[in-house]
Amino acid sequence: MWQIICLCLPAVTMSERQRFFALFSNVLRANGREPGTMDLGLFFLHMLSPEEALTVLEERLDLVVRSQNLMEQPVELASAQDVIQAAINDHIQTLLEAEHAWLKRTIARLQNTNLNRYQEQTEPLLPLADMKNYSQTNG
Amino acid sequence: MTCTHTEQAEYSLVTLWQETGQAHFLHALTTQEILTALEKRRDLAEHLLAQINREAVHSQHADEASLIMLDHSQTLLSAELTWLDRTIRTLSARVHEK
Repeated sequence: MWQIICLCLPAVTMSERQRFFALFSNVLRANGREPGTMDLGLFFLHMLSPEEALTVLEERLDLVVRSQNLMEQPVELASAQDVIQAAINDHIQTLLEAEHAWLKRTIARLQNTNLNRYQEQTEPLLPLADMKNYSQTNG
Repeated sequence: MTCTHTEQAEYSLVTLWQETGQAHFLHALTTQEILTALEKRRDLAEHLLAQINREAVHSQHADEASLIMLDHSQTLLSAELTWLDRTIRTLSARVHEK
């Protein structure tokens, strides 16, 4: 999200953009990852445990929700410039909505992974029905 | 202390989105230039999404973090394409109205 919005600024020249991406690619390669369209704020996700990743993503969701609240102010369209301003706001809001949906889905996925791991670790030796039969038989 | 920290975070967030809006590439262009830039950007986004979709087909057994990142790229690029189509439609209609 941040590259799409922030790295296409008129103030950033093509050579500055290329320089930035070259540095970013070096950092990714140094960490054993291949550069693609990877988000700057998420490239370290594979280094975290599911619990740590969950904390990071929940914090990020909080930022996204607060940003969505800030961007919710309506814009009245009177001139051509207002239409452009509305398109810019729509751009940010559309990407925030997509980010929100992805965060919710990923948090649910990681919670599920954590739950499965926990269940595997604490799985009883006998299934519950067998345990009841065992305790009835053995008093 | 916590209150100040929250206020600072809120202020940073407001500043971030104000600056992002003010520095957005659309501000520097005329309506016709915007349409050309958006169409180019749509071609690029479509190309990237097709590339990522192909990558997704070959990544069925990748580690979870890679699958999550792939899903992130697909989600954001699809949203970008939706916005591009909507904005091109709106601005084209306005150009034709004139």
